[in-house]
Amino acid sequence: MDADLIRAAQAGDRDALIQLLRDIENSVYRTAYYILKNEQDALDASQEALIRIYKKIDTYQEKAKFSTWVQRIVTNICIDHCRRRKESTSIDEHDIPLQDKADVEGEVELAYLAKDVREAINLLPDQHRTVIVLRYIQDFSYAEISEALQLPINTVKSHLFRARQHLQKLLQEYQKGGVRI
Amino acid sequence: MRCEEVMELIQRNLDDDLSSSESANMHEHLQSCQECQSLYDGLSQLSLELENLPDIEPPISIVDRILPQLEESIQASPNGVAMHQPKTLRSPFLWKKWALAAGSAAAVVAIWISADHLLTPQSDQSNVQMESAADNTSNYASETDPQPEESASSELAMNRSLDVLPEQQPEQATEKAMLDAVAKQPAPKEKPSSTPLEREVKKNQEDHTVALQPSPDDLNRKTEADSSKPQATDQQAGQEMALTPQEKEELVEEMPSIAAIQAPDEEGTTTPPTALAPQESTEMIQTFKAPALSDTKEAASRGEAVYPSPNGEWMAQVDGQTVAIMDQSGMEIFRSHTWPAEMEVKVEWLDEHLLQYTLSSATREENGTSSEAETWRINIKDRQEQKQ
Repeated sequence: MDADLIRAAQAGDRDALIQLLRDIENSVYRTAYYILKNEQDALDASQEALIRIYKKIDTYQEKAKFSTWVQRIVTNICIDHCRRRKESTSIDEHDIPLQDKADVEGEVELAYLAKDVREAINLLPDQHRTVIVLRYIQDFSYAEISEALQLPINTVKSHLFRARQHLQKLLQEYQKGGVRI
Repeated sequence: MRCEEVMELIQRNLDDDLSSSESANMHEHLQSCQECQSLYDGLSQLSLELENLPDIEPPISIVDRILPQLEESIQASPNGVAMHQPKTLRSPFLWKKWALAAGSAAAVVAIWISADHLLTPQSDQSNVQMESAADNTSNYASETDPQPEESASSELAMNRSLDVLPEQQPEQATEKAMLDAVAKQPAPKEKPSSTPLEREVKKNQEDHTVALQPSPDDLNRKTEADSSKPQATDQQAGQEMALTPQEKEELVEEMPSIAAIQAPDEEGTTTPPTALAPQESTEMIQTFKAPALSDTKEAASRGEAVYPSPNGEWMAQVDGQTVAIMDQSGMEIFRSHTWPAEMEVKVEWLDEHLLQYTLSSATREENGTSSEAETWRINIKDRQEQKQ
């Protein structure tokens, strides 16, 4: 990211700020899309993220990478979004008997086997999916993911490794013919 | 080196995090451990797939979409950084969509309700109600007119038409306004005491009324279009299949009210009381399961006939393979046993409290066997049925 452009934007150059938003628009949307799993939610979250970046550009400090600062904003919004979605879903599913509820939460990957890697990503827990997205969609290093998510590097590694194993398992199960355990 | 340690190396290797010595150790282990080698292969393949995930792009420029809002906020805050932003931009659009949807739904419901009234035998009292409903509708139509000027003029014309009623001064504008109203709302039936202008207007309305008399097809279409009755079409399709043509004929024959409604006389006093349930009981059906006579006809067309008792106190309805009896509030008070799927049913009221239905096998004539028809009687007073 062009450091001069960022400084100009922070100094109140509106054109620079708009240009900056245009430069990051796609990467913001991509993260939102892969975390939220659909276009409409991704558009909403991206919009919210870009507006927040526009408003908060003066709070960005150069000691962090601009891209990790941006990704922190968008992932926070997406994770909030996921949480809200879950809350509303759990209200909807209030009538489901306890046994079924346990199945839904605990064995979701066994019920829905992924036929490809994209589908498999959608089945990951939010935190794991977010790490995968930052690693593979944003091409972030451990350190960058750690900065964006404000997690210790070892936690990032742990999430990432477990996420990959999880994905592997989902895809293998499917290749075996979708046999449930 | 233990396999668990190698596992971490395999993972870190995918992230280019290994030193050259760590990498050498890992490969050494892999050559001697088939299990770890296949794990390595699998994870490498997965990682490759993850790296090749498509670069999704937004379908529209999000910055362009929020630009007007950013524009606004920059004017509001002198340092060029917005201070107050609505939480999302979508909300106003959403609101409009909802308002539009709600408005359309209300309009559909209004038309639906009035259509039912139209098809329901009306007392004078209900004619009066209908007329006030028509007035309301014309106001509503004016209000929702997309062209404000025209709307104003038609509203004016409407008011004028009310003013000039006794003086017999039909004007084009008046007629237009009334017809607009009529076009958006099925007309009330003619009231004997109408003024000349009213009659003239109503003559127009009558035309519409005739046009609005639904053929069975119309009703079917209406049913399909009406999302408030989602179950009707499915049942209709399914049960119509189950009916023989002869049975359909019988059902129609047993519905004198339908014939009556298809040929309304000039006075609007269409239906002999014996053939048709009084106003109250048709209303009662409405509450039970969608609208009165129109529904009766629909019901007939899909084999769900409704049979009012002679005094209109009860309504019997063939519902699948059962007969249900409802009271005037639409409450189901009795339901017969369930008969087998291939049975034809014929229903008749023997008196005010006794309903007889006869079940006969539809395949009887084809295979020549003489399986006897079953006759059952439902005694409403006792809430019991008995095989005869």
